Amino acid sequence: MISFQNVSLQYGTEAGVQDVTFEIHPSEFAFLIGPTGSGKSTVLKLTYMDLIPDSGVVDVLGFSSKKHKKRKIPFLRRRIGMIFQDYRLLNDRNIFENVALPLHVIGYSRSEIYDMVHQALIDVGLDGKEKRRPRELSGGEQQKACIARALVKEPEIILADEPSGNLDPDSAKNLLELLESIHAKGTLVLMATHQWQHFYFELIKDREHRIFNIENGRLVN
Amino acid sequence: MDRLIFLIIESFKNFWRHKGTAFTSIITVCLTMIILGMLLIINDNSSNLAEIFRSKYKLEIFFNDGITEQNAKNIISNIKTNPIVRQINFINKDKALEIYQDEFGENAIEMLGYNPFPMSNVIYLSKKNFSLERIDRLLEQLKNTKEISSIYYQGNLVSKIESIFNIFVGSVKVLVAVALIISIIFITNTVKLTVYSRSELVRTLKLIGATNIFVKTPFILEGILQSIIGTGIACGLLFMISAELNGVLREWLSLHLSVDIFMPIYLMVISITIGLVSSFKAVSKIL
Repeated sequence: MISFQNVSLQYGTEAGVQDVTFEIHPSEFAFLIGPTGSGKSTVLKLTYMDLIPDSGVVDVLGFSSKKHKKRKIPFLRRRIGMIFQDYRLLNDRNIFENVALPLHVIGYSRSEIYDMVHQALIDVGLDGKEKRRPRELSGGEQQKACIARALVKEPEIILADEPSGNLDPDSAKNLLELLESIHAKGTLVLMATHQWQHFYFELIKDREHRIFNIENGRLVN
Repeated sequence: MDRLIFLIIESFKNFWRHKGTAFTSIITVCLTMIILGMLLIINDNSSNLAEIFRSKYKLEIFFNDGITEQNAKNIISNIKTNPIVRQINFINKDKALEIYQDEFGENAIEMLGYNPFPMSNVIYLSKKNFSLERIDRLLEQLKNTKEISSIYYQGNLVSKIESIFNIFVGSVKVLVAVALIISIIFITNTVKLTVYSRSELVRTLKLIGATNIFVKTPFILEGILQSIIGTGIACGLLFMISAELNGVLREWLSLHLSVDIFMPIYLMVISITIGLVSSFKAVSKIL
């Protein structure tokens, strides 16, 4: 579960967030929408504790920004899968090694890692491309590799920060379907996007997804 | 255990993945360790160089004509107790006559009707216990011995050689310190560049839940590996260079350059420490 209680944060030249309160329950699929610079990324960063609020409390999977120490943050992040607009894949290693990295961090054995990575690559449709380097793949495939890396550790939460930012409409649709299939297995998905009307409105208008609209760092109706 | 094995394998893989930067780091470590090693060898062998000069230092004393050989030998026994004295060669009147005859081919007794040469001593100075103060004390002792008529000693030359040698030894020590500082700066900066060039990896590892120790370990192991390889090559080259130099120096100065068998260990400890500390600090900075 993700819970924000009167969370405010101002940092650098970015907008930050002001008095944000919301709750997302386990197994929910939620959208965080708003224009560029509205504070979407800040909310996500606060969720994976890359940022700590100036005031208010962020509680994620029982990990409270008020109570827990900084050195415990990696253990929270192991339970969260993150998907980025720029993929953040490491070009000095192949897709298999990129996807396997979170499992090495957690401490799985080599045989477990082999099986789990292969399954994740099958799930995202990258089976057979494990030996390729990220730069040898298309944007859509790189995003799939990024998703595989996020879901390989079977996280309780998936956070997607503008995941379709570099994708064409068809790839964006595929991405959404992929995230929905992950969500169908019981994973909380929070997806931040500014391409709401352009890509997703038509796709999900008939489904039950919660939508949080953020503008100038504040949640609006 | 799986995590540890992964980290060790990862450091070797990173080494291979980033061959260019690893090569640069190894070359930097190697060159700085060669310079440092050469200076350490020179520093270690400076006493050998001093001994070459000091083995040539000697005093010659001549006895008064009136004293007996036994009397001269008693004086010699007394001089021998001085720690600056290494060896004394006593030359009696007959031996002196013989030397003259060998060198000039003339018999002085036939020419003059008597042996004109006084008894003398050549005093060789100790290389180990050498000091200008001790020589001064010995000279004082000899001057106060009334049976000795004259003393021959190239004091000014010895003082000059000794002062030049002391400047040389001091300069080498300063150069060793400077080389050590330069080594630290060079290796630290190279390691920093290596780490900063992979800040993306560090960021990604942090985001997927890696602890600080998990992020740091491969960089530290890589730094140690580069130090070991760089210093290993440097030590090999140092032994080769000193062997080559020995051939030349033996011919010119009868000097043998000895290389301390512990030198590779000293250099290894220095470079590993620098590599370890600098990689630890560089990663900590971007964590």
